[in-house]
Formats: sequence, C-alpha cells, structure tokens
Amino acid sequence: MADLLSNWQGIAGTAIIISVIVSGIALGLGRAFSIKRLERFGVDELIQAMVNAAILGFAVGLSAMVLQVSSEFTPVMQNVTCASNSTPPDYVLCGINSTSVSALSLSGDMLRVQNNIAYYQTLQLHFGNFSIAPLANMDSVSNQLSNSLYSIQLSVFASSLNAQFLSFVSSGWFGVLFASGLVLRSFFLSRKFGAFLIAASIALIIFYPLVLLMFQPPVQGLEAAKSSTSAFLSNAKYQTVPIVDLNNNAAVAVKLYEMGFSGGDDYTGELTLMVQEATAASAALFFYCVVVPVLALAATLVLIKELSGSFAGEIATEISQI
Amino acid sequence: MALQTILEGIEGTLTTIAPTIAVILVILSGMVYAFAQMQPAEARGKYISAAISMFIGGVIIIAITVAAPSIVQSSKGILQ
Repeated sequence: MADLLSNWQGIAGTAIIISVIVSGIALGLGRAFSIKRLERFGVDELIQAMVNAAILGFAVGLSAMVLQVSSEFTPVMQNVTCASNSTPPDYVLCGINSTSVSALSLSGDMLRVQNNIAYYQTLQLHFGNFSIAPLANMDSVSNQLSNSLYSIQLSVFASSLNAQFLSFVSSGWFGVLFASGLVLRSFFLSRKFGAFLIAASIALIIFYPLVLLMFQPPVQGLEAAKSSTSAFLSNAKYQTVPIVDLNNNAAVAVKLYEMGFSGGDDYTGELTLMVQEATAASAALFFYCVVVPVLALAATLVLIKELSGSFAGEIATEISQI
Repeated sequence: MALQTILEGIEGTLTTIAPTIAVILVILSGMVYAFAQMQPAEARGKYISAAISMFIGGVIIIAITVAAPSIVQSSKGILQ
C-alpha cells in the first residue's frame, strides 16, 4: 500500500504498458489466424490502453495544476493561515479548524449571555402587596439564543464530519484510488469499476475540495459576533447583582436603572443587537458547514456518475457487446 | 512483494513471451508458405494468404511490444 501511495504514477504506467502488450498479442494472433473477434478485441484494448495513458497524463497535469492554483489563489480567497505548499483539502481543513474554534468560542459566550438573561428574568422588585419583574419577558431573546446555539452545535458537528472526510482525502489516497482505477480499467472485465474509481478519485479528491474553497469561511462574522458578546458580558453594569443585595429593593432598583437609563447603556437594546449578530453569524456558519458541503457533495456525485460513464466508454468494435 | 515489482515481473514476462510468439508465427508463416508451393494452383492462394496473415500478425506483435512504452508515453501527452 505504501508503494501505491508513493509510486502511483509508475504503477499505473506499468499496468498500461502490460495492457498494450496484451492487446498487441491479441491483435497479432487474431490477425494471424483470421479470428476477427480476437482482432477486434485487440484493437479495442489497444485504444483503451491509449485512453488510459491519456487519463494518466491528464491526472498528472491536473494534480500539478491544482497544487499551483491552491498555492497561488487559495490563500488570497480563504483568509485563513495555513502551512505553505498545502493542498486544496489542507486549505479547507485550515478554514474548518479556524471556523470551529471561532464558533465554539462564540457559543461559550452565548451560553453565558443566556445565563445572564435567565438571571435577570427572575429579578423582582417588591412593593408590599405586589411585586414586579421588569425583565421577565425575555423568553424570546433567550429562545433566539438557544436556536442559534443549536444551529452552531449542528454546524460544528457537520464541519467535524467534513474534516474527517477531508483528512482521508488529503492523506495521499488520490494516488491509491487513481492507480487502482487505472489498473482495473486496463482489464476488460473490471473496466467499469476502474472507471468509477478514477472518476471518484478525481471528483472527491480534486473537485470536492475546490468547490468548498470557493466559499470563504465565516470567521469574520463569527469574530464580530464574538466581540459583540464579549463587550456585552464585560459591561460592569450588566453584571449580576450580589446575592446579598437581592432582598434589597433599592439596590435592585438602582441596578435596573443603571442597566436601562444611565450613561447610554441599554441592556435590552444591546441584547437585541447582539442576538441579531449572533443569528447572522450562526446562519453564515450553517451555510458554510452544512449547506455548502451538501451542495458540493451532490455536485461531486453527479460528476462521478458522468465521469464514470465517460471513462468507461467502450470503443464500438462490437467486441464490447459480449 | 511490492506491487510495482509484481507488475514489472508481469511486464517482463510478457515482453519475453511476445517476441517468442512473433518468431513462432513468422516461422509458421514460412512453413505454410512453403507448404502452399506444394499445393495445386487452385488451393495455393488460400495457404499463401494464411501465411501472409501469420507473418503480419507476428510483425504486429513484435511492433506493438517494442513500441509499447513509446505508445504509452505519447498517449500520456495527449491530455497533458
């Protein structure tokens, strides 16, 4: 297997030379003894071997081009730091990793904001016969944060799945799948399966990461939401009242006054803006981590189907219809 | 054993077998051609054409076997 990983071009080339020689023998014997079916089989196999060689040359050129594109174009597009000479799957992995770190950091802050809201919802002012809770009706904001948290959780889950798949892709399996496909395609009986493996290696390992690279990771949106939540949480006027003061009506009233009316601070207003930013960030995250990979996977599957058909194309010399 | 070594072994065997088959075909074609000369004129043509087919078959085998690496090399350049 290590041999396939390191020397897939040599292995595929040798397999094609074998298939050329076999086709030459079949063609020569068919011609010598006037066995038309064997002669046609030889011609068919010779053309297929040449097609295999062309596919091999195409793959070598394609992998060089992809590396060139990823080293020149991707760092500009992705806006994330990644090791130099990274492959497209490596760049996607870098994007996913920085996105996950930002998303988890934001979700931690959002949880603390939820705790803060839950605390203030229970805060009451007592007036003898009755009491009021001015911030009791904050359920909608809390629910919006919950929805965003669920969405972020799902997105991080999906991006972890995607990262697992991409680590498989970036581990040099292109050569193994591709060389196995070329070897299998060299033989008449396993031609369609070989074509499928070639198509799968090109589509999953080159096309899929490139489609993902077209979309920028939503790190900036997440960072903006994170700075908004951090500013909210670090505002001293929004910190929880010490427990000893909870029975002190005047202390609670002063606290509520400071939160809403003094010095330009507005607890509910800032909370609303912050929730909006968190919602936008979680939507962008959901798009990047769930929608884009699903679309890319669908396009990749279509490409595999189409390429399999093209690569398994038989040459019309009737022998193929056996 | 490494896959590359196995495939190179198969390639080596085939490059040994193919010229042998080609030589056998050429010798066989010569024999058939000689045999054709001993046949009456109406049957001679059939044997001569069989001999020529065998000779061409032998040439094709040796030509493709010798040219296989070049065929692969030039085919690789088609889409590169």
